[in-house]
Amino acid sequence: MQVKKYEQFNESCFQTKLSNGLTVTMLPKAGFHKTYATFTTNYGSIDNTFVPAGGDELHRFPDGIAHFLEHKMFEKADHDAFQTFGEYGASANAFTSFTKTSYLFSATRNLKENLETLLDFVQDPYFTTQTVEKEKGIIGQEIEMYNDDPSWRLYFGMIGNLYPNHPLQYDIAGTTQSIAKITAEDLYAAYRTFYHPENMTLFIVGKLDPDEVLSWIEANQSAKTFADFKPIERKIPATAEDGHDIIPYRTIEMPVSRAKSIVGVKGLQPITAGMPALKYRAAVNVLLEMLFGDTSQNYLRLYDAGVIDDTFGYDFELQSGFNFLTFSGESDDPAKFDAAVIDVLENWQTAITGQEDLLALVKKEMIGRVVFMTNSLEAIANRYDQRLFGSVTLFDEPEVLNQLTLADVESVAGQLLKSQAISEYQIRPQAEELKKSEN
Amino acid sequence: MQTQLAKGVQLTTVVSHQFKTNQIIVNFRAPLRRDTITKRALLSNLLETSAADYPDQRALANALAAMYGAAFGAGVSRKGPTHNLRLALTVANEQYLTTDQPLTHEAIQFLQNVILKPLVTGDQFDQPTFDRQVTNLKAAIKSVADDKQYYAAQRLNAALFQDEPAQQVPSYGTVADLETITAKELFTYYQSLLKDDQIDIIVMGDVDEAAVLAQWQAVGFTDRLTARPKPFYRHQNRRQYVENSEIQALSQAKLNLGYDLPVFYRGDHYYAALVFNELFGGSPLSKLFMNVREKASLAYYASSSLDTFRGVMKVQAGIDSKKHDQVLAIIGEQLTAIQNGDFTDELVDQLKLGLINDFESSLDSQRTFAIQALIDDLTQQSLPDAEWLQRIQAVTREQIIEVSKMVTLNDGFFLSGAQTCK
Repeated sequence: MQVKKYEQFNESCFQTKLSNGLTVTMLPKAGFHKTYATFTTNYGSIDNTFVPAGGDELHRFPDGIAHFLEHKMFEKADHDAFQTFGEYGASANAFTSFTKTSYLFSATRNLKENLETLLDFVQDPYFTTQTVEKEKGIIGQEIEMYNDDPSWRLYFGMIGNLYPNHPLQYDIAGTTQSIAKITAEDLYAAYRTFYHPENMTLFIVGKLDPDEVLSWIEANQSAKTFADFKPIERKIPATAEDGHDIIPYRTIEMPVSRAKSIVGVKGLQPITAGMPALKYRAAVNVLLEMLFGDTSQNYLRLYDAGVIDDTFGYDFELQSGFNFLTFSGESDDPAKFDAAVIDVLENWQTAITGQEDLLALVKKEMIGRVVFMTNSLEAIANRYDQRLFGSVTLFDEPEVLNQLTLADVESVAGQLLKSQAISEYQIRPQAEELKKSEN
Repeated sequence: MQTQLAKGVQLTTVVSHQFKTNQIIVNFRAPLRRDTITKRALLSNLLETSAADYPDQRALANALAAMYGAAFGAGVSRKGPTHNLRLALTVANEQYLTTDQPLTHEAIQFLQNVILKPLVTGDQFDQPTFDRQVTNLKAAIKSVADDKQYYAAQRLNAALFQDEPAQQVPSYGTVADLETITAKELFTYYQSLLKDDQIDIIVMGDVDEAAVLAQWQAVGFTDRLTARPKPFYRHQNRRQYVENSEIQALSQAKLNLGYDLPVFYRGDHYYAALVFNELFGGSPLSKLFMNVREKASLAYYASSSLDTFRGVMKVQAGIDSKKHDQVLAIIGEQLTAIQNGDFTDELVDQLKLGLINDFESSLDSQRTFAIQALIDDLTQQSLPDAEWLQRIQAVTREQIIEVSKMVTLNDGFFLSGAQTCK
């Protein structure tokens, strides 16, 4: 087991790779009552075309299959995994993102039983035609709920603009039409391809003894056999390097009281995994703070002019294979909102060049925020991404931030903030509001 | 450690090494009154964004960033018959940073500046700042209606408390009120709030208690001459079901139900009611989750929650519009099943374990300690952790059944969809 000590934080991280290929990472937190564990496969909503394990040809699977599989993992022939966690007092959950599926639990008691439950239910697929059909109703409801959510529609509207020929644009849960096509055989094919221990990680943080926990995991895993692992072949369509496929502007109407607007910027260059990715993310986050953070000149100017308000927010999404920025907010004049944001992006030099003091302030702020996150088991676990960042954890971030220079920030800005990579999407209130009837 | 700084002004310090941040909360508590709800909500927005020493948002943001990204927020909430205006500041503990800056001292100083030196011109709040926050709060209130779950919950609340205007209005106020409040009137109200409200200051983390105390004593708070607000509001049981409905353009309908359940925080039946709620709809093992969501596939979500400061229980479900009658019936059946004792002892044990897991997990959040200290002060009682666990363990199936028979369905709100926007 490798041990990495973080002296400044008085924390240690333990990591090892089991003989079956599973990477196990543990981070004990003194004084905590709870243990939080996530069991993650590098398989998400964008992986809809791949060579199924044992096969030799690319096959296109229905959109939403990774998420559907996540739902179905909990149900077994004679029990439900939620039930088992409940019996041991744990709360369990799962989520599917663009590139990953994670199963997790948190518990203050019965750690061994809960860990075994987590490993066993994820490593024991059970799908039948009947249970698959039943799930379609439940997931259909989930999709409809998201369809009513303007923020969700806004975000996916922008992704559709930035990635029009890419599976990113599809809702993670798919559509009612796409999930109608999913069969039990599809689920087995996806399962066998992506749920091999070599393609998975187990991260445990909180109240735990690393040696004891590892011995439990090893005993559990050595009792199971897995097929030999062959590298997974996925087909993710390439997107234009010059951004010419980006849809520059779209708008829809929804029953909202105020218009919502989102400006997106697509990262056109690929990012190298590992430390470079971590540095890139840190530099972009610093850049965003300097451009639009509440310590920036722009923020105050736009806020006081009423162009942005407290609903304004921005986000940098960096995952394996893609990265993009979003800036969103409510506005009575979405065109003005978009123009103001784009003006700042295209003239980023004004807010960055020579701004050493602002950089120092922003770095200070962001280092402090890392300290905040070390209180949260969930933040520590969810920040971990082996595929993207390798073995680094949250506790490596202050040093990366410390070393950032203004030149780093300028270099990232020049690389990312290109006019041809910018797009707009708006949700406007319906022209004629649906008549409300009450009784 | 607890210190009375003046009558009705209390400082609580909790020293712990578990967290790498220190947290300071200042809570102003007053009786919930219809005519002050919106004023207090607007005050919270003003205090969050300005002060004499930090006249604009950037100056305020810079001060926070300079304290290694201290997190500052203000908010309002209703608890029973009380209204709470709360300022919270969290700051990194300097021992985990390479700095000599006395962050906790600076953080307390910052909060005192915000509270005691607001951005005022003459005898009124600075007009441009005031106007902007009125505009923002109006926009925020209007946007709430876009969140359909929240909107449905709000409509149910208004129906449940139709006899008491102060309980009907959301804790963040109304747009109509905002049309009438002036910057001068609000400042006058703020001065009375500083003088009359019960104040709780809670400082949690790896702190020097004596230094913290000295810093707060220096403020010179004065005795509160007003009576302490009561902790509980008793919901009026109307003993019959009345459902309101509304049609909007949306694809998933919302069904929200409100029940009278006269059980109050740490009072008679309280621990049994906690287990009952887990059994009815408060957990993934509950009757609602298992039967309405899982078995019958009637809902995407269906859960219940208790408000033990007002004596009500609520159910919220996201459903297909066409299945309203079916869902209403099956929810009723789940309650009847519990009343008939249709649940196993094994399940009860699991539900208790789930509650204990939630309770112990909450001890890993710094916020929990502050929230608990506030409730303890409101109710004027406290309970050691071990005793809480023991009381949950002691709940019997008979006690759960007894609680289930105290439940009366009163109100419903059905927000259904017209499929026009797909």
